[in-house]
Amino acid sequence: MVTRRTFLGGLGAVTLPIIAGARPGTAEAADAPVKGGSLTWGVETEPNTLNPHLNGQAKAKLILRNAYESLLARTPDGGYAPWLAKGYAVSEDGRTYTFRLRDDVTFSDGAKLDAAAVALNFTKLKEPTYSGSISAGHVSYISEAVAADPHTLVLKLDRVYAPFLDGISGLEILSPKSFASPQLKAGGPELSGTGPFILERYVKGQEIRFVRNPAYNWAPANAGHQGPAHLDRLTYRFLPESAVRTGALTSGQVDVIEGISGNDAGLFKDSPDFAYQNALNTGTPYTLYFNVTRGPTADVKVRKAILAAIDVERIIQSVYRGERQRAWGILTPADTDFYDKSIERSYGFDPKLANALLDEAGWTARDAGGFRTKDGKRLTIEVVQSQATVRDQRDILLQAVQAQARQNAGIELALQYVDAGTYANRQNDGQYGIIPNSTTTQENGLTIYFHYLPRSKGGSINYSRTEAPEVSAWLDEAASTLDAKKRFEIYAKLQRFALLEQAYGLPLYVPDDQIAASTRIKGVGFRPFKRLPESAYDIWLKP
Amino acid sequence: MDPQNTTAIRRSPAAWLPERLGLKRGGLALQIAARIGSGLLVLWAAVTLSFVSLQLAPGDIVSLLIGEQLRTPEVEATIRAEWGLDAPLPLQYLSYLSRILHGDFGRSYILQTDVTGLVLSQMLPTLKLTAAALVVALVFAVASAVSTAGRRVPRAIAGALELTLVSTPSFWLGILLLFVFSFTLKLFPVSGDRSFSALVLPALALGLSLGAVVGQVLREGLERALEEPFALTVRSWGTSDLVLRLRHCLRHAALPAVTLTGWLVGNLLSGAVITESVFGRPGLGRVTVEAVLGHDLPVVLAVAILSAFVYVALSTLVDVLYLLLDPRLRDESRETGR
Amino acid sequence: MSAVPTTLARRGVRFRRALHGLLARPGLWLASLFLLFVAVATLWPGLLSSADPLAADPLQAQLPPSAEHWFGTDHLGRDVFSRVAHGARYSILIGVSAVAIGSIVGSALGLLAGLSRGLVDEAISRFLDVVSSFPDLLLALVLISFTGPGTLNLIFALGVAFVPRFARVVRAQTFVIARSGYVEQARTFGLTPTVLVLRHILPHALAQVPILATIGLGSAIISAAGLSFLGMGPQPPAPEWGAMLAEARNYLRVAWWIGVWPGVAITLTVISISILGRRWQASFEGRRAR
Repeated sequence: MVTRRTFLGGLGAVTLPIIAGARPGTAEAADAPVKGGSLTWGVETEPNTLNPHLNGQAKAKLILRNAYESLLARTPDGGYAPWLAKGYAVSEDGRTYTFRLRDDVTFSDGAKLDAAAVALNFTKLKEPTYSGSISAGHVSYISEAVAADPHTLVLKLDRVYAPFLDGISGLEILSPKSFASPQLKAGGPELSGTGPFILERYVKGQEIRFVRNPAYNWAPANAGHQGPAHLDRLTYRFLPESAVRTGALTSGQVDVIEGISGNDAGLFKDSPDFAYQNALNTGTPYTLYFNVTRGPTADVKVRKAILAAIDVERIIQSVYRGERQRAWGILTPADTDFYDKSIERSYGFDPKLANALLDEAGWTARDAGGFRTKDGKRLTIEVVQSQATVRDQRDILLQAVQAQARQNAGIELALQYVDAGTYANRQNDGQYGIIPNSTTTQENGLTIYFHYLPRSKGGSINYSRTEAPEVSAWLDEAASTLDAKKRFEIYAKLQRFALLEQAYGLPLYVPDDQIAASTRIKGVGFRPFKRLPESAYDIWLKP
Repeated sequence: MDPQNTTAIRRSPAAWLPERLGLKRGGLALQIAARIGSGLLVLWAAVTLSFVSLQLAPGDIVSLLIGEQLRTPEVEATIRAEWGLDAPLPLQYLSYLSRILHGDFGRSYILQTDVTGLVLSQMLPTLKLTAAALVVALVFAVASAVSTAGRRVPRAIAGALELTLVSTPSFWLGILLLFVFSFTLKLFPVSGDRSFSALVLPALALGLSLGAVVGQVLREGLERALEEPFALTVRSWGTSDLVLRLRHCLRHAALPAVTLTGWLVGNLLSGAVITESVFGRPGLGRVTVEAVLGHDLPVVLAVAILSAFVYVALSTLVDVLYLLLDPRLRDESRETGR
Repeated sequence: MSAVPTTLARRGVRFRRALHGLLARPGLWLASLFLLFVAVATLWPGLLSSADPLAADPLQAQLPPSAEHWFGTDHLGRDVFSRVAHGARYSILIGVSAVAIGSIVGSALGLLAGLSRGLVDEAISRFLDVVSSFPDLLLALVLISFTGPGTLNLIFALGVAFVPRFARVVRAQTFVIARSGYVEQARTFGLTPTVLVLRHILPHALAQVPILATIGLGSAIISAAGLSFLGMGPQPPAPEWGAMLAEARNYLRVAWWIGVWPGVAITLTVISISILGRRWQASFEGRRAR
């Protein structure tokens, strides 16, 4: 089995052996899966586009993965397993990636999957008018995507980029015809993939329907089974309110739901009729990032004061009724490679410290509302949250944080829920005090680069806007080394600097996916590595 | 929501042109043509107003379209060209007008999809909801008016119930209905538009308060009709009270209620916006709310123009029907009534 | 459409009859008493509840109603009674301000149109036609899609949506009065136009506005709560009633009290306003009909 370390070593051509492995959710394996039936799954988030290239919502992946697949699958330890590609090789200089594709894969529109089709995907992704933020990411390192022969794809990079395979292996491959569709950007049935299900119909505001792809026979090597999916039909219904999802499951209107509020989790945990499971996401925790270039948060004392003013543990306990985990670091504990546990409890709730720090920072007076002031100006920090990424009761969580900041330290947090355009503008121009966010889609330390490099050097989601030279130097150092242990140490150093010394952000909780299903539904589970809910490929209905 | 306020809305936007043209006594065909013409002019003004507001809208369309993508002048220029934002304003206006004439409302900023297709695909669930709510409203109004008109105690009870319904926000009524009948009693589906039963609770939430208003107007009309001489005559034939009310008086009482049409349509459309959100139904209302929150102006304006169209078309139709049905109106000077 | 005064007179008779049973004294008294409470809550909420409506206490979350917390506590451990009491300020102020904008701008436009006739009247009337071809709430939504959500933006949007109904009535009244023999007579006495307008036309033309405003207030409060429910009004943690209901939706199963009281508050307030408004209208029209 090829581990990340071998990959990072760039040791020339390596062909992946097939691995078979049990996956979470398939533990009740004694029963033989039954073919047929249809499943309805209530989900929280309606995708804003069904084009998998353009959709950046973590919660949309579980839907889109049914129809669109990528070159390599992941193993629980972060390694790679064959999928649409049978194997890959990295050249000595780390600038040429060669993928050997399967020769038996067809898109649902009938086209054959070949190297030219995959190459077209990468060429298209490089066009700025097509792919938005992705073109600024991994794909921008590709200088050339060529089909060496019908089933060999060669990607040439213009410079070495360590996390390249992580990014590229997960990109969904669309059929060539899809790119000519007028619906390309909105996505939908006109965009064909190779998945075990075929997107049949999308009813905006209500549901998205799939049917089984009978020709499917190219599941990832580590999937629960091979051959076509068990289910005949599959429907995802959009139920944005958590109470409605719970009600729909308990009254039997849907078979599975994801996104379960802390209040409702007990209902399913305690019931013999339902199975409840959850998994921590990899990536970054839901964190308040402080803008270090503008307003009160430019002062490190104010930032540290906020860290000490909020009793995060108690808030998480109260809002999520004990069903979510408090976060401490710049990564989530689910990132087994680079999460440094030593950060836990190295800082925390200390209202006395918070108030002392604010006094030191000059915010000594109080106004009629009980808020601190300096030179007659209230200590107000604008929290800019994108409307589109409010989920999992984060609006309630932010209100709880807001209340604590006021009660414990006299800080006013002004919550602003804004539309995508406003959000993009304010993020670009730095017109905010705090941006709360979490990411679940980047691994292998990638997300650290996006969060902590200066914006001009690719830190596209550097919400704290730090340009600290030591941070950039560490990141350069980590990118150029292939020694995972060394990288771990560098990231640990960065974590202590970012949170303890500079207080760039306050991690709140570890994003978590929850699934509740009626007990006759088998094979529901999470993806082995990213820990997002898995597609419905392995799901079957117990008669 | 008050019937008292409907006077202000009763006047049809299609009535002014005939007046200006001095068509108080003109030929019927000419009058009808003039009314349709004035309706069209109002629509043209609504479209123009939409275009102007698009231009004046705060926030830059380009930055909304770019999103989190890296901003380079090159990317901006491509997007401007792609969306036709680089043409001079009058040209943009003309192409906007001609596109709308051809039923093309442009492309959604957020969903990147054809607005016309989006709006059309969401029309059916909204039509179903508004039609069902209209049925609820009318059934409630007729039942309440017929059974209580002129009867002291029942009408007081019905009046109190109607006052409560008119004063209850439809979204709160919806939440309560959902909680009781769907979550607790599990009688109706919680959400969506997949079956007829999913229509029941939203239609009640939306229809009841409107029915209460219509019921009040209907009851007053019914009570007046019951006091008319013809009611006495009919009674003297030995007709039962219910038949008298339903067959003879209701027709008289319905006329003032018809003038509520415009108000009713407006409120059904407005109410659908909120009701659809509460019940998680697909439809124009929900699309509108999402578009408003997402600053997706082409979608918002398409829905606005569409609803203006429905409103103007319906009130013009009512006007024309009145002209055809009631010859007196053709001669009546409308000058003071405006 | 018949002349407005006749309609009003007819409706006056209708209403006195219609409201006789419903609005007998007890209703009126209860409504006045409740509105007094609402007024106190709007002006001095501290008198009704000493608890801080924003003070969250994670340890006190989702407690059912008790002697200590009359309406229970919400999902963040805030006192629901205090939030409902303090919320009156938002709902009433938004409603009153929106109606004020609508009635002032509407009256001004109506007067201008009614007095000037010709092109100005034409322009104003056509403008009103266009504006009122959008349903109220939808018009407000369209405006908010340009301005973005927020308390002031919500007031502005609702206010604009209310302009046509006031403008229409005032214009029609002005029209009738300006052409009545009585004004002709006054003119022959040599009154200047300013005096004529200020002393003789204005009071009559605007006589109905306060009543229309009172009745409109009820629908303004409902619309405002609806838009806040959709997230377009006051931003958290403001205890606006509609916004509170939106948040409470997900807690109905475990804590019904969070989502019941704000709704009760809206309904009772609007009922009370309607009762008083109709009573006022009935007596006003009764006077005029005589």
